[in-house]
Amino acid sequence: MLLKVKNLKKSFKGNTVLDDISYGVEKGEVIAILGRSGCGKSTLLRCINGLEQIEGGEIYLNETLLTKHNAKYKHWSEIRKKIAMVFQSYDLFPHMNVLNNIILGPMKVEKRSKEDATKEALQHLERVGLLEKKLAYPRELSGGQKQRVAICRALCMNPEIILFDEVTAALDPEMVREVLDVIKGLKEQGLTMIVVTHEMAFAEKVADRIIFMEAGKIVEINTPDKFFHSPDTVQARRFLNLSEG
Amino acid sequence: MEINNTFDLVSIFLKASIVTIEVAFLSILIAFIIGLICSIALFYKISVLKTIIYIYVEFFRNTPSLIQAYFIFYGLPKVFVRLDSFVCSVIVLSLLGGAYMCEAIYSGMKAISKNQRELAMAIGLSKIDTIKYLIFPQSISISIAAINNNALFLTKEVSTMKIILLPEIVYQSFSIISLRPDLTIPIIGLMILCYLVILIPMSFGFSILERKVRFAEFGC
Amino acid sequence: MQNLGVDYIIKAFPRLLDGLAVTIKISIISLILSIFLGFIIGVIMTSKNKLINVVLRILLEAFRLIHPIIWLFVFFFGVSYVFNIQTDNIVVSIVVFTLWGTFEIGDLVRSYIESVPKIQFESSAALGLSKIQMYVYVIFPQIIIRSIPSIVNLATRLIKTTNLVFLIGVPEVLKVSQNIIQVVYYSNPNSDISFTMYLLLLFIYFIICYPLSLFSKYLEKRVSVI
Repeated sequence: MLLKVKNLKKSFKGNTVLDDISYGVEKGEVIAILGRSGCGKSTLLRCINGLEQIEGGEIYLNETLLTKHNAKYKHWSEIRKKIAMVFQSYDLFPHMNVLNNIILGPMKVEKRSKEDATKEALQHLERVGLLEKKLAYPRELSGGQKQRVAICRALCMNPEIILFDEVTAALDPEMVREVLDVIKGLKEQGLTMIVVTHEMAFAEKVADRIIFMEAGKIVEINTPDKFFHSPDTVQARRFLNLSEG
Repeated sequence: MEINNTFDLVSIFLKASIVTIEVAFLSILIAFIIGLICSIALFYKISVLKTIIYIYVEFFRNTPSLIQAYFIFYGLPKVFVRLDSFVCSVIVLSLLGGAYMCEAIYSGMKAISKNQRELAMAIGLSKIDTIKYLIFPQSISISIAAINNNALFLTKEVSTMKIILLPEIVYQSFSIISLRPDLTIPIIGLMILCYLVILIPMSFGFSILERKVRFAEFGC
Repeated sequence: MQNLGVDYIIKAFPRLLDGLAVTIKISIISLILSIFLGFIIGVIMTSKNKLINVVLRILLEAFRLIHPIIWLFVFFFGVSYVFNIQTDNIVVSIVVFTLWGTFEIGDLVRSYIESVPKIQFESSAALGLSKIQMYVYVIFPQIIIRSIPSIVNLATRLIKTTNLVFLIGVPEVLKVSQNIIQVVYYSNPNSDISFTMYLLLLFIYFIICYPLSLFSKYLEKRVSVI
């Protein structure tokens, strides 16, 4: 098992946001986390790479314990080389061009050479179809293009697992497609991914497993086939607007 | 001067503080009036006046106030008339303050949208009435912060007038310390205390004024 | 209006320039130190530690509210009295103006850091950058550009206020000019040299500061477009 989450608990100002979450992710698997807004799916993702502190439970990567309560920043720097994240809103650095945005991480964190990092960056850019934009600045790109660059940036760190936090939520419908196509391509390459999304059709096509959350708890874990057509739980049915019965 | 006890020391600083407040008050007042007149003149867009005012403002904003003071106190008497340090201080600070106030008030007036001015013209309001009833009341709430800052700035600058022998707080401090270096600590303490006592209530009063003006204008 | 003393001024011009050099040197050194320290203080000011925040705020207000002339006095006379040492007037000048500039820039930097979208911090963290790497490569480049107009503005104010140091004996341009005037009065009591001298000084400062303030206005326009 690549990633294992056990009894995760998180509160925010006295409110329980994550309540006893447990699940596992195998290498090469794509997990889609679905649920209504505020059910805790983004928070769950952010706990895995340390952007949120957890109050209870454990997270294991490759059988090594990841989280310690109140872990220091330096500890997470190491882990984030293996767990990459792409955010919902445009998180490219505005003062650097596309290429520099992508190679900053590999050069400064992994200490790779500029030529080495650039070569790999250009490969990724080509695969997502943005090679000609390599010297453009973020403000010159569309939302979909920015997200594709953000994905390249995450890929260049050669992570073991990539987390996607509602990456198409802020995009116009036309651009949603181009980003989801990239993610589909990554699945075909065998990358392990956890995707938090609202795009049901996408989740159905790409995910190996669906985790459905409500009010901080995991309500149902199922294959997309079963989940979307005959889910086990009443809550899932309500969520999908299927008849209850 | 004779300093036999604490009372003497305190009374010197008290008198110096009063001088500071007097100079500051007059300077702020006159500076505001100068700034107002200049802003209105700029508003009328008479090009000759515009150039003169521009030169005035840029000159006073880009030269040190100390040299301005020296010039008016030591230099002018040669061609003009000998002035005493109080009058000189007020003149220097008023002119300096006027330049800053003009910027503050005029930028507030500029910020009132062109629509307002055209609206006034369409109604047939005379230029002076436009300013009085439409532009000025609205621009005040935009400029008030800068105006307050300038007032505080002028009050602080009074201390630099020590160099033209104005018997204010810093001047007295320098005088006493050369006679009685043993009093260094109390002098420093009194110096800072006097300025805090003048500036903190001023600053506080200005924030309240600012809030009141904004409330009257924006209701928030 | 007799004898404007122009010939004396021309003869003494090199000395005036020396004095001016002292003023400019103090301003530049203070400015550079202020920028460097100011950015560090700015980062520290964003810390969530209440004690640090309160202490730094008090220091900031102290240097804002109290005019540098008073701080020059305090540091020059106060330090020498308390520690029983002879304070060097140039060192004191640089210390006072550096502290003044540091807190001004620090407050500016703090507000700029707080205005950078939180997502930038998170992206940097998600990439694995260390805190220092994050500030050096991502955060500072973005705010340096925005802070340049204010830094130029501070430079102008420094140059204008540094004159004060003659009060603690630094041989800057105002003191030099006073010496020259006194020498002239000794041999020529009716000279009008003070008129010309100070007018000249005003003019010299104007040619230094006016371009700077134009530059600052130009930069402000450019920065607001970005």
